[in-house]
Amino acid sequence: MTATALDTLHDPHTQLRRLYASLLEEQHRFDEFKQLLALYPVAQTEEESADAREVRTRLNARINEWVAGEFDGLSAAQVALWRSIVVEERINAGLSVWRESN
Amino acid sequence: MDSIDALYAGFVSSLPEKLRPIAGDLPRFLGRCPTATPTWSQVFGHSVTLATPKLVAHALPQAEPDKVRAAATGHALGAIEALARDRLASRQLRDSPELAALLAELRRARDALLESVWLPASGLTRAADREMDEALKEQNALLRRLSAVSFDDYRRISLAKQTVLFPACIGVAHVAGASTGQIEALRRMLVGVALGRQFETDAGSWEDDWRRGGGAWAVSLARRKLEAVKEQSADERPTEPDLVRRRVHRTRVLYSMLRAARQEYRSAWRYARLCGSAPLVLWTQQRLAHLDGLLPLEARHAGYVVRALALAPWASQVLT
Repeated sequence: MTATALDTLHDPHTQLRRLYASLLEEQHRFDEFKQLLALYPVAQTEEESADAREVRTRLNARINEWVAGEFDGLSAAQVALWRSIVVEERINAGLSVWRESN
Repeated sequence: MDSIDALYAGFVSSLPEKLRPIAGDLPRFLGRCPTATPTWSQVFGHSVTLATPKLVAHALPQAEPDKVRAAATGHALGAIEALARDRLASRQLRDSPELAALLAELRRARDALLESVWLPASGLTRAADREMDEALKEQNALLRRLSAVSFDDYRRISLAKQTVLFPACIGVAHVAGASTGQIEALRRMLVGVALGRQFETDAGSWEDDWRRGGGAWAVSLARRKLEAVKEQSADERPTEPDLVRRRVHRTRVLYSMLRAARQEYRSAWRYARLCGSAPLVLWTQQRLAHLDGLLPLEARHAGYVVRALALAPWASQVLT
C-alpha cells in the first residue's frame, strides 16, 4: 500500500464517510449506533464519568469494526455532540422535505 | 422573510383577535418544531407546494400578474389549511373550536381569492374539500385498522387528498386563455407532482407515522404483499417495531413506493414540458435524478431511505 493510500485511510473525513455509508447500508448498525449514543450520559461536569467512558469505548470499538479497523476514535465532546444531534434531535429533522404530509 | 410569511402575517392580522394566537402558532405546530417558529417555506420544504400557480404561470404569458398573485396567495392559504386538516384528521393536531374557526377563515380567504381569479375555482375547491375529507376518513380508518391496502387504492386515496390544490392553477390557465388540451396537460402535471411527492414522503416517514400510532401506508401495503400474514384485528396488531420493520423491509414496499414516485415525477416532467413550465421541468428533473440515485441503494439496502433521512442532520454537521 502506498503512503498516499494510507493517508487516505487515516483521513478523518474518509473515516466518517465510511461510517456514514455503513450506517446507511445496515439497519442493525444504525440501531446500535443510536442505542450507544443514547446510552452515553449527558455530562453534569466537564470530566467524563467512568460509565460514559465505558460507553464511548464500546461505541469506538463498534465503529472501528464497521469501518474495518480504520477509525481513530471519538472524543467525549464528539460523542456528546453526536448524541445531541442523533438522539435528542437538536437539529430539527422535522423540517425536512419529507415530513410535509402523511 | 418569504413572501408567503408576509402574506400569512397579513392574513393573521385580519383575523378576530381571539384567533390570532393560534394562527401565529400554526407554523410551529405544522412544522413539528416545538422550540422555534419556522417559516412556511421550511414547513413545506418544496417550493412547488406553495408556489405552484406562479410556476405554472411561467408557461402562460397572457396570465395577468394580479391574477397570478391572487391565485398564488389563495393557493398558499389553501395548502396551509389542507396540511392542517390532514394533521387534524390523523390526530397530530388537537382539535379545538379556535382551530376549527381558523381553518374556516383560511378556506374563506382562499375561496375569495380564487373567485377573484376565476369564478368557478372556488366551487371546484369546495368539491375537492369534500373529496379530501372523505379520503382522509378512508385513509385513517384503513391505516388504524392495519388493513391490507392495494397500491391502486393507495394511489386513489392519495390523489383524492391532493386535488384541493389544483383549482388555483387551473383557474390561472383558464383566464390566460389556455385550451382544453393545455388544461388537461396541466392537470396531469399537477397529478404527477402531487403523487410523486406523496409517495416519496410516505416512504421516508413511515416509521414516524407508525410511531405516532395512526398506522402507516408502508405497513398496509406490506401487509397486502405478505400472503402468509393472516388478517389481524386492531388489537392484534404487531407492536414490536423490529417485527413491523422487518415485514416492511422484506416486502420491499419502500422501493415500490419510491419507484412509483419516480413514475409520477416522470409523468409530471413530460406534461411540464408539454405545458412549457421551465421551473417545473427543472424541479421534476431534480426529483428524478434524486430518485435515480436512491432507488438502487434502497433496492440493495432495504430501509436506506429512512436511515438517510434520520442521519441527514448528523451528516450535514459532520461530513461538511
